[in-house]
Amino acid sequence: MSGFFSSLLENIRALPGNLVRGLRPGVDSQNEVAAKRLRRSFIYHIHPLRVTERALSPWVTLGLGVITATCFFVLAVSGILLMLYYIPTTKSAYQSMEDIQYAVTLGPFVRALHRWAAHAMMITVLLHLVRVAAMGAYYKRELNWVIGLCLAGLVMGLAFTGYLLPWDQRSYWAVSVATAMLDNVPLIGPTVKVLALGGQQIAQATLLRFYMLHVALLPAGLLVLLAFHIWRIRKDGGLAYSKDLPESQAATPAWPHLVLREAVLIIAALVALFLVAMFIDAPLGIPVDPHTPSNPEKAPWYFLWAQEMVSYSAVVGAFVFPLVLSGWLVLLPFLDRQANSVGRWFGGRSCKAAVAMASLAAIIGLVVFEWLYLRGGGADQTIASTPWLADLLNPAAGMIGLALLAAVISGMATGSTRAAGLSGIAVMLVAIVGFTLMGICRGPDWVFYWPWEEWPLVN
Amino acid sequence: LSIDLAKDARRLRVLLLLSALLFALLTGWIALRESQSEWQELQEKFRRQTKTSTSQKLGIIQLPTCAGTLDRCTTCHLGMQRKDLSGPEIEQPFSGHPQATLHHLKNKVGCSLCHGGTGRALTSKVAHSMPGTRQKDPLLTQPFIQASCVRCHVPGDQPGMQRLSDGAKLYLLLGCSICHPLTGGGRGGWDYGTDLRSLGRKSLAYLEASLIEPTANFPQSTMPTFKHTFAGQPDLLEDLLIYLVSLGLPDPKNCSKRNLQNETMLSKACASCHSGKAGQASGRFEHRCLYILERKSELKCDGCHQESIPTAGLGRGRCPQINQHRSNCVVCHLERKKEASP
Repeated sequence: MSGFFSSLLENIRALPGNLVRGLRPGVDSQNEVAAKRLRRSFIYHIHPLRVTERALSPWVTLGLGVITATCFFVLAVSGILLMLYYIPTTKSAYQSMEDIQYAVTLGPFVRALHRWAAHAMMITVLLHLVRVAAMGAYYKRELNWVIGLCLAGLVMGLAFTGYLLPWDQRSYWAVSVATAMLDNVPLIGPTVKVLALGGQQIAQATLLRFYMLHVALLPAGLLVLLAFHIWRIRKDGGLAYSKDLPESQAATPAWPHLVLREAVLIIAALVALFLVAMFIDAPLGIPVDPHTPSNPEKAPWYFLWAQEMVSYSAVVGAFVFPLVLSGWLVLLPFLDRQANSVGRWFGGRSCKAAVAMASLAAIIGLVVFEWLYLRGGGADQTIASTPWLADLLNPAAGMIGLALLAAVISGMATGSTRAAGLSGIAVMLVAIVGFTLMGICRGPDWVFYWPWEEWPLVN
Repeated sequence: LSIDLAKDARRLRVLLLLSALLFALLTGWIALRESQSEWQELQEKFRRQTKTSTSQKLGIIQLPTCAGTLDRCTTCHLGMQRKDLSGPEIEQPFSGHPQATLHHLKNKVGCSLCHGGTGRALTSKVAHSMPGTRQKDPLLTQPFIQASCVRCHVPGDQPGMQRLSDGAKLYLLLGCSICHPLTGGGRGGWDYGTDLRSLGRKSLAYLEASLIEPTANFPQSTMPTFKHTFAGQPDLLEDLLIYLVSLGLPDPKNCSKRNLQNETMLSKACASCHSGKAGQASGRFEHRCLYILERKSELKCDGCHQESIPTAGLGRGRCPQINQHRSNCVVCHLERKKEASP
């Protein structure tokens, strides 16, 4: 009895010192440097002790990975806040969105933050992918490159599943269009569609499944893969660079030079997101009406390129092009094993010229294909009447052919596998951007209108 | 090394401090902005005007409606149920509701079912526009509010729907129904003009322009102008506009008649279709409308009703909802005293 009280009294007397020692490990260590490292052990799980001076330059990575990760944490926090009010039933979903938008304290701000951070993440994750590809940084980092591709896929999945949740006309019909594209994927397409929708139509089951995917399965997967992705960068030796670069010696301490740079970047990204969310509200359309499709029905903007291609040829847009693109990206580090110029934009002068030529050819090719295709106000009747010919002769198929052609010509002209790989990606990127712009310009009945032209009124 | 490490570290710490400060200021601004809201200011103003004691808690006031929605309108429109505040000298948002229709507010019909607008919103800008739009003049007031009556009431059953009936008459007299026939499931007849029920709620300015200058809203329109018909007859134009507005309004969704507290109205509504004593309404259902009886085989059940109707045992107060708009009925059932069927 007395032993208990005496030891408790002793512990209380030693509390101030133990608090400091317990919460700041290594504070009474004799070796000040070792103590600091111990305290910063979390940081040194992510960064090595010393990094190259090149890693400090903002022009190497453009901070895209850090911004993407910042967006993810903003999305996680704002998403959890939204979950406090959101009800995933077809009866209440829109009403709970109205509550968040109109009555909940900070509701519109948190919702706008979630929406704009999601769009920002979509963009930065793709730019990050392009940056890593353009620098050849996938060299001998096949695993992390493939994980990165999976992360990009997860981000798209998260954006897509989140699109349905407001349960307004825009979200309902956008998801209806995007899932309808699955019908054109051979063998697995219809099964995947039923699995995703929980039936043949978008209904309560769909909303619940999308909600579960959006708040549980996909974020959990993203979190695990993201941790792995960041850890692999550390294990692969930080930023990719080839030994032929002069500033390749790792001599700068990561603390504070790299870590504080990242901290400033994170805060800058937060400030930017907060400012946008403060002044631009997230849109909330009119409630779902399954009997009245909007005209035009458009997929979310990041799937618009696929929808545009589907309007030329269903099988090319929904299956062949995505397959070629993802296959190309997955195989890139295995088919391009060139060690030189890793970490340089577009891998040296001749490669740069080849990629520039390929991009130029892609832009010209796209304009010519579209002009040939659209000059009669749509597909040529003789071609359109033969299904296999229609699948073969359209702008989408043309761009796939152009990508293969550009890759072969660049490879032969430069003798570089990197030039070949990047040229193909450049052509497909031009196609994606071009078809997205085309998709934006589509009006009622999928007719092309210039942005300054007014759409006719439709019933 | 080409950079001065000590200088770089110092510069970074200053930069971090500045950016953190900026972020803190921004967060403070957001919090400050949130603390001032329109409805709280209006409630303060109402307290001062009516000398209500500050101990009486107001806050967000929300009315559940029979359609399963919430109306927060009375958070700002605080004088609605007060007799002493009705009169022309008291301006909105604090004036009282006309006594003749005030029972709607008490019987869980709420505000937005009749007046339109976004009932859940707490800012005037959003609350006074249709859900998800920034459409001007969405709130229906006299005389256009009559268009809303037909969402729940059979035309001619209730007083105060005269101008709507007049508008429906004009719709027939002027020949609107020749091109815009409003028959059966969706578009019928000549399939020529736009199905006016598919347009949704349009602003009065839009509807008026469509009558006076049809190409103003729709350049390809071949509709003749009705400018000369309505010249010097603004009342007639208004009557037709009331009917046109009613066409764009949907039937209230999820509206279960059980929620209506007015028992007599409920029994009347059931007994109007089911045979049997009023108040029990247990008999077999029979259509009484000659128009429907004549065309029963063409129309099919799901032509008008949202779901397929079982042959027996629907019961338990669940009334099959009518998909097609009740405004159809107005065309024939112009007045209460006239003969029951066309």
